[in-house]
Amino acid sequence: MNRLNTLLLVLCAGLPLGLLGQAAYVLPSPTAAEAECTLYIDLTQAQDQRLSDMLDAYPDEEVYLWIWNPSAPVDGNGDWGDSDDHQKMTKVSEKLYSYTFIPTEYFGVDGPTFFSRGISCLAKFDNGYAYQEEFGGEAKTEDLTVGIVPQLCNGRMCIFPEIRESDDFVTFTYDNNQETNPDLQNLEEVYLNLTARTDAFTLYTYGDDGLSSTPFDAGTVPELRMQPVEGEPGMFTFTFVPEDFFLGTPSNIDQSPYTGELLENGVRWYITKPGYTFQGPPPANSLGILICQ
Amino acid sequence: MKLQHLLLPILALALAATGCKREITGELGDPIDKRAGFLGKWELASFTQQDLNNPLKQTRDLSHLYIQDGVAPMSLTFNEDDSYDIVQDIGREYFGQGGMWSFDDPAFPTFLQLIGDSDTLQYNLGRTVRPYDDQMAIEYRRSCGEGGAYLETVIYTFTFNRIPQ
Repeated sequence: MNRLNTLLLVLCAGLPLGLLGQAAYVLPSPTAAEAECTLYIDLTQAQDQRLSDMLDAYPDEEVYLWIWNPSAPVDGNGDWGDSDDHQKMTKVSEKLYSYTFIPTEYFGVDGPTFFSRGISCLAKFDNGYAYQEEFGGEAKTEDLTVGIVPQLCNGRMCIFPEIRESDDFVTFTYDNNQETNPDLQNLEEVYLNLTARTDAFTLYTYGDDGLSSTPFDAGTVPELRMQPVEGEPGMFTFTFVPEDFFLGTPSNIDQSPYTGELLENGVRWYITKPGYTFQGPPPANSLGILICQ
Repeated sequence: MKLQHLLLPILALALAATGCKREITGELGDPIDKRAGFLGKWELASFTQQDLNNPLKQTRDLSHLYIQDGVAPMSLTFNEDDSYDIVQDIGREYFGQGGMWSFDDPAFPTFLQLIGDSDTLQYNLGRTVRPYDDQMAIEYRRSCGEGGAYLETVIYTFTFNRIPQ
């Protein structure tokens, strides 16, 4: 076989091998920022085989995760000479270790930060200085990087955009097929109860005049009805500009109308239907509003 | 036939084809008058919102908030005397009540400025508009903070169709 053909074959064959031979990877991929994912480190694929060799010599050693991007863990890594216990990885198989976490909780960063920075980490022994003299270096792999393929929102409620001011258009997209409250499943009419909050105590619930003796029923307010998404059964959408939408809504304190004050405490929302009363307090979901002056 | 026997003639042909490209000659002509391209009446064709913090920087079509059956879409008219008029029946107002208009730099405009009685609005131009173009776009790019805390949030894009006069 001539050299050109050999070169082409090597190029073609090398691509899938390169993808398979990653020392660190995250599953599932695409990855959601607010759902559990698992980081795998395959020591056999590390360029620096020192940690793998150390494990051959000391098979009882545990492997720990040391991570610094997108951020150090909220609870920390520990010290290089003594990793924190919560950083211990699970042995999946010979030389393959895993660590499961929810990115936004584990790193304390938001989704966009997680997706843009990806993960930078390494695997090490509890004591990173262990066996240093015997193996000529620290008990760790080289720095490993993992790019994250972001999973777009496909949850029960998705809110667009990710970061919004009170005078931005905000769209709620609700998937009733994923509703966990049995009373609210298989709905044909869906309503959003929306309450603007200028501080922790001052609330403006749209449609609630605060004077009625019966509990407020958002399901009777046409402006709060979500619109069905054409061609997608069970999907509903609602778009509004908070600052405009709540204008004139009376406050819970003294019924004074909302006049566009900063929504320091965002907008509280929950899904409901006509005539429905929650057993106990309704869900307290919050729509964060960026205060930009 | 061996692979290199096929590749070599193809490479030779490709080189020959690019080598024979005719030299461009002639005058460049006068620069396009951007202001002239903007003059006239424009009717809103679409309205979108792009989320710059979404992992894929997704764009949503929100045209239905401005364009509905039975309602004339918003229109903007840019006049020769530097005045502009707006007619809008539905949707959030972004372009004032009418007044004077200008570009930040007439030769190389980046921004459209709308000067009203009490306010001056400034928006990005989506593209250069030549007198024969049928569409133009105005972008409202939103951001928050300064320096290290600077954060771009969303881009609203209003796309207009030219209405022949």
